[in-house]
Amino acid sequence: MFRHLCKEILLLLPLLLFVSIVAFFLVRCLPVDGATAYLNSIQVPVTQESLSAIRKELGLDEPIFMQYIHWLGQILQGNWGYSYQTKRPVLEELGRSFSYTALLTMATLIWIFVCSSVLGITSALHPNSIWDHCVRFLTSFLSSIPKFWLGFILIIFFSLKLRLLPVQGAGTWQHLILPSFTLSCSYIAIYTKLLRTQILECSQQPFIFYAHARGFSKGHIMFHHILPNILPSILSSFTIHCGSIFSGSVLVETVFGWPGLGRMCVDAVNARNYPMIQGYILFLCTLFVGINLLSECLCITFSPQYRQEKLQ
Amino acid sequence: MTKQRTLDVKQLSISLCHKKKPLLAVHNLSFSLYQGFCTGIIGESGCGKSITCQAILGLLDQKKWTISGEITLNHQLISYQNEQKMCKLRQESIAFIPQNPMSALDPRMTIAQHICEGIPRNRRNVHKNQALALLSRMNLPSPSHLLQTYPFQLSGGQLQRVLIAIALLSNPSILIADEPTTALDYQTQQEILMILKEVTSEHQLSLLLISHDIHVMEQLSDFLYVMYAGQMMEHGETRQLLTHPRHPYTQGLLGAKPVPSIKPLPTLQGIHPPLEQWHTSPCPFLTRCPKAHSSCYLLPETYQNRCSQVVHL
Amino acid sequence: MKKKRLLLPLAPLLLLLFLCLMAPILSPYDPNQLDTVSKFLPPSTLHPLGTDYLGRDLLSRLLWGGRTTLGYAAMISIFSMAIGTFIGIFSGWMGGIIAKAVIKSSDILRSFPNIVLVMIFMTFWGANMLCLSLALILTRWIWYARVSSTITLLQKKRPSILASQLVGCKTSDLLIHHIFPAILPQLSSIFFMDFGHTLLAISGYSFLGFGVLPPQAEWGAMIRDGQNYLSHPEMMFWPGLCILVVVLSTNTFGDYIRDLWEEMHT
Repeated sequence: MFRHLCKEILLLLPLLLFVSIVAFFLVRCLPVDGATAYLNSIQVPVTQESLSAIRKELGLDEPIFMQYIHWLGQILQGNWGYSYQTKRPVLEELGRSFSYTALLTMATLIWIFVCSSVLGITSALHPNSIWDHCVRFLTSFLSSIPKFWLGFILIIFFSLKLRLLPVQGAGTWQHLILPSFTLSCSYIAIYTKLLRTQILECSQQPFIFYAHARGFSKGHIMFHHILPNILPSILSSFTIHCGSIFSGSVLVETVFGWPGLGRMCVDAVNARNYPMIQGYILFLCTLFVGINLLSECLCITFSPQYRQEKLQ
Repeated sequence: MTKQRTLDVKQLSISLCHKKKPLLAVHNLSFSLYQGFCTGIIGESGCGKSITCQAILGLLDQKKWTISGEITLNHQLISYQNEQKMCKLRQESIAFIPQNPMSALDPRMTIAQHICEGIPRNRRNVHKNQALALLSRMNLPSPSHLLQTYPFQLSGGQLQRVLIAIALLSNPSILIADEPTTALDYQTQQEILMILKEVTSEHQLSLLLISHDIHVMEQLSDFLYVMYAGQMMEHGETRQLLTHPRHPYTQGLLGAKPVPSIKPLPTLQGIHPPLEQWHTSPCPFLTRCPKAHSSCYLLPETYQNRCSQVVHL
Repeated sequence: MKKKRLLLPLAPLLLLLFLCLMAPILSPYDPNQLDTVSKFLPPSTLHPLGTDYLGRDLLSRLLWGGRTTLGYAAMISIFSMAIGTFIGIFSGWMGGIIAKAVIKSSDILRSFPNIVLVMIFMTFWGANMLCLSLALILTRWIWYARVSSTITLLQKKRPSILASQLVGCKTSDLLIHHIFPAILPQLSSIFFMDFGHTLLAISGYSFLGFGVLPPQAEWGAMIRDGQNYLSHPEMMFWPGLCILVVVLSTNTFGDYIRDLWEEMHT
């Protein structure tokens, strides 16, 4: 499996390289000169002398290819530059914001897992019943509702009217409930529908009929045969959505004032904080590659057929 | 020789509710299984044989199918409403061998996991050893290695033997085999039939064999029931029935058996009708029967084996 | 399929579309007309939905905002569909590496966080509606391309297509009269669902401040205005409800078309 993973990493390296080139040239090709932008950010008057001094310091007088190599070298050594706004290292800022987003994502995953399992399995066990129709309407509703609007509705209801939960911020575990639930809603809809369809399809398989003929109870068949067999397809959907959960948290973080990656990115774009934007792009793409590899590992672990195909 | 009855099916009728009109898939079917003997049900594809199996096992969806009649196992009526009792019955008394062995087992689990499924931990080793003994008895090479493989790594013949072993491990009194050799090549088919014959007499099972192949019935079954459009046309001891068939349908079936010959193969005219066109009276075979007579229209509905006793025979 | 299933999602959607289209006629006030004296007025005969924090009539802003939101969403969806279908049919017809490249890149883009691409555009060209539209078109065309490419590859092998080619039928005729009708049902189903997603994306980015610039009325921007005045929830309740109704209708209608198509093909 290790060899296979190395092969996958090698295949994804060109993508990472391409992204690094995009991130590098993004700033270099801006209408505003890099040196001028930097001087503006440190509030130093823009004169010929200061411009040439900064150019020499930042290495902007070298050929563009050499600049890229130097920049890549710095990135690989962990020096991702300094944020224009807070003057702190970009990697540190990214790490701090990422920890908050990771926490939010974990909580979101718990909501998705619990709600979609309950709704999906119960509606699949009683297809075309009243409960099934209710669940299907609920999933349509949840997949259509705008997240930022839902967030405010929940704040008005739970925080302002009922005073059960805090409005905004990220101090205690109570701050985590509403944002994670808001973020999870559309994914609950997706996974409930997916679980229901997959369970109903799997129930028609010949080996499920044989398991019934052997005398196993419905519960045993559901948990030992149906759910483990649909796990690889659920996992592969999950890895597709994991990237969008991380990036889609932007809206929810803005509504609830959660200091995560999304909000940091929005602030950086608004303030033209180019090192942060560069760092955000690189970070998110590396994360995306990591999630892809993780999904590959999980699929190989849980599906013997997939394992045989890929490793032999 | 006194035959001990194990399973008794009396007046089994199964109907499907389709567009507010009930469609009769099986009508007034009655037959019995005897310990140590093989009973075969033969008929064309779509005549209701598999539905009968599923009804005996209690695997038909009660919301879609209406089932009437009585099925008794060892003189005790089976109550299909009690799901828990049915599960116990399927685990202990009635075993099933499906048609397609390649898709009958969960592809995620090894053979050993399938064999030990549902067995408490402390009895798993004993169970595995019993399985190994059975598998080596069925001429499977290196059964201990086989236990660690996945179903998609084995051939159809190997898998069918594994399924027979799993069925025997529960010490059932009834073994239902739904077209067990249809998906296999001729050589493997012969081996499986041999195994089934041996286990029936060794373990004193009642084997219910479903097939559309007369060769298979010739080799294995002791009693034969001929089914058409959900109804029993003829029944009797296999040897007697195959040498002296009385019903025109049985005669047609036997006549169509492939034998090396220069002459063209005789076939039954027409095709097996779809479910919507089945009727109970007069005789369902009337439209295809080469010996149809005006008196066939006067046959009473509950007349068992009716055609064999009618004037024109 | 019952007609009820068709009418239920279409009715509110068509009603809203009609109302927003008729905004210049139906809207009682200018959406940007300030009147700081009449701010936060409750619903009345003068202002059916009340007023916002600057005294602007909410109903007028809702209708004009609908024009902006729905207009941009429709434009982006139509452009993505046109570009994606064209490239998809072309790559499917050519087959080989081109088709494989389209399908592979759509797989990668599917899991790639779209926001990164949109942010790149925003940084590069500025945070306004034109750039947002371009960014969204460039991230969404790939869905249509993938579906068109896959179906074209399948349809290409049909005996009727091969026979037409043998007879000397022009490629353009084949593509327009044979391939495109085969793609149309699935494409329309995706279009309606994509319309809903695009609408959510536009209103989402406007909410963040990256789309429509103030004081232009737009549903997402109205919710942004309302976030500082949670004690007057009507400011953001109505635009959000409109977004919900439109997206729910288009999603349901898209599902209906997909079910209809599946029914026809089985």
